[in-house]
Amino acid sequence: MSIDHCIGSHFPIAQFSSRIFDHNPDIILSSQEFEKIEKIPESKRQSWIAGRYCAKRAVFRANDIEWNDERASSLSIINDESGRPSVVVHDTHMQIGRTHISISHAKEYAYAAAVLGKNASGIGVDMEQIRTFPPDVLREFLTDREYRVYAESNDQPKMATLIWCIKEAYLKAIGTGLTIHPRRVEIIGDMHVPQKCCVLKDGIQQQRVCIDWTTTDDLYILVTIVLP
Amino acid sequence: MTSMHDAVFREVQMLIQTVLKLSEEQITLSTNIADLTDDSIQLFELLMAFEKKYETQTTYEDVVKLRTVGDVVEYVSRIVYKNDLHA
Repeated sequence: MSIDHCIGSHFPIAQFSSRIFDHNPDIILSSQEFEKIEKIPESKRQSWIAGRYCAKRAVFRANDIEWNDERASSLSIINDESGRPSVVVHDTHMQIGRTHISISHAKEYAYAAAVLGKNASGIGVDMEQIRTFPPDVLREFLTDREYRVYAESNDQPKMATLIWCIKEAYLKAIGTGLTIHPRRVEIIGDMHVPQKCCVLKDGIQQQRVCIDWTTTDDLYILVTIVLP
Repeated sequence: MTSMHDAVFREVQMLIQTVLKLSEEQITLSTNIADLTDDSIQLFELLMAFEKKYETQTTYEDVVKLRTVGDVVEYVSRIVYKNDLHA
């Protein structure tokens, strides 16, 4: 499955998602990534490779480069201490500009999106399976205002999952991930229309944050956030 | 491993087992906590469980930075039981 669309009118986004592979398409990995995969538990390796695959697909697409496996193995997706991914190009002949990327894994899917640095200052994605949250978890990550929106929703699992995804995608976009408590981020506006939603952090509205979301098979929610 | 260290490890191990429904063999001192969870929501649930168990003595911002089960054991020993395992 692949997804291509733009968020707002200013940010061409390259997005790609894939089901977890039945085999290891390790041909797309760089030697640096091969070293890294040794440290990943076996149960998570396929998911990790699928994430790399999606991220590389998105990077190629954002940079308008035709995909091939050999080219894919000449770049690495590395994570810094906080887990934030970035692109390292090993082949100097590849015309890859500064590209922001974000990756998410959800059970049987991986999802990634990329945007060129000249178009945006950051990107964050999150993909989660729609679920029923325990009440104490809801109370912990939703603000009072969000809780009211959730309580009035006619599809509460989907609404709660969507709010979680927007919060996490935003925290990834600003580079902190969940090191900042998700309740410090609040989503306001019309929760049925991405363009009508706004993000508040510590009570302050964040300007020109572009939000988009979609659902897959009505089982998963994918959220992408781009910072201007 | 000191008896104090061992007791805290058992306590942390049991908490993780209960929240994530895992067997105790899956949880060792060197286990990366993120590797035990299916996704970030499950990780958040685990962080909440730590906060709930140790109440006001731990903070989300501290706990979320801990990478391995051993890191959690050291943190809980130091903050909750005031016992520095390296002293």
